Order: sequence, then C-alpha cells, then structure tokens
Amino acid sequence: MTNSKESAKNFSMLLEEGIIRKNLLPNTAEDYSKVQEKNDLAQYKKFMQSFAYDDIKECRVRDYNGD
Amino acid sequence: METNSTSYDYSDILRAFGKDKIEQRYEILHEYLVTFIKRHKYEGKVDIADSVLNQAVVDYFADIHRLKNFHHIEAINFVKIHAYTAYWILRRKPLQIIEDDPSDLDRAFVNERFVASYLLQYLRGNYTDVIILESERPAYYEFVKNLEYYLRYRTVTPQMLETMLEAYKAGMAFERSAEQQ
Repeated sequence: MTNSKESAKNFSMLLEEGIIRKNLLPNTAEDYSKVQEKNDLAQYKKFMQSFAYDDIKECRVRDYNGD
Repeated sequence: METNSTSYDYSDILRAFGKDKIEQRYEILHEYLVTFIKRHKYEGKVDIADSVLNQAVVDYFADIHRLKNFHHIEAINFVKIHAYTAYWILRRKPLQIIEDDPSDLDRAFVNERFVASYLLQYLRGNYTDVIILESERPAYYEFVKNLEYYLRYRTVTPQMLETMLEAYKAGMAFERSAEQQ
C-alpha cells in the first residue's frame, strides 16, 4: 500500500503540473436565442395543431409492470 | 432568516446573459405554456403562475451560469438548453390548477404533460406533423408512454434528460445510416 503522505504529495504535484485536467465541454454552440429559439416555438405551435399530436395527446401513461 | 450571504439578487445572472436574452426566454416559455393550455382546452382550469415561472427561468439561468463558468464556454448546445429547461419547468411546475377535477389524472400531471410535449416536439424538429406508421406505432407510443411515466414518477435530472435526447438523436442517425446500407 502506498504511503499516505507521499500519495498526497504526488496528487498535489499532478494538480500543480496540470496532469490531472478537467474534461471541458466544447465551446462550439451557436447562440440559441438568436438562431433557433423563435423557430422552435413556431414548430411547437405547429406540432400542437397537428394530427400527430392528436394521437400523442390520447396516449395514456405507461402502466408500471415491474420492468 | 439571516445568513452570512452578502447578496440575494441575481445581478450576476443579468450581467452574464443580458436582460434581453432572459426576457426573450421568459416570453417564449410563457407562449409555449399558453399554446399548451389552449390545445388541451384548459382555459379557466389551468393557469400560468408567473411567480413560479419567474423562479423556473431564474433557476435555469443560474444553473446554466454555473455550467458555463465551469467549462469556460460562451454558449451551450441546444440539447442542453432543452434538457435544463424541461428539468426546471418540471421542478417548479408553473402550470397551476385553478379548477380542480379529481377524476382527471392528466390535469394533476399537467406540468409533466407539458414537458413531454415540449421534448417530443424538440425531438421532431422540422417533422412536426409526421404521423407514425401503423407498424411503428407500438414502439413510438411505448416511448411516449414511458417518457410520461418517467417524468411523473422517476427521479429526473437534467443530465438524464440530456442523455435521453442525445440517445434519441443518435438512434435517428443510426437509422438513417442503416437505410443507406
């Protein structure tokens, strides 16, 4: 088993030297408010008026069957 | 109750996102809810509690603010936006029953039903009015029912919703690829 003090020092060294790193999300998304937000609302309004939603609206919640 | 906190306001959120973006998001979410109420003929039975929607919107932006700070990103992707919005609507429940009907279970779960419609449409994208093929109905409607069950009874997190949305989109991508081969 490793020595606690040495392990802590090693951990601290890895942090300081940037060897342990964050996995960052990509910074590539567009600005939703500018490019898509109003379009999504328009599509939602269309969906709510569609025959497709008639069926979904009548879709009862699933009965729990122990799956 | 007094705490040691020095500030209770959301000025940092306002600074980070800007008044216009927050106002636009609020207005659009409000319109989604109005559309849902009308479609289900819930006028006079269900209303939007502005105080609750206020909190849902501010919680959403505060949550996203933390996420963006941690990852040093300017804008989050659209899947995350929908997952986190759905989560906070579900958590806060801005649709409130103003005329009760104990025999109407759907009304009791009106916020969950709204969130399901919001997510289902997001997954449809441009295909708003596609009618599911007769042969595919069992699979699709089982998904719809399962989604409603999950939103009503399971522990919901934005990360799980995000994974569900990503999985659905990946499934569509796989299907398209399989059709080409």
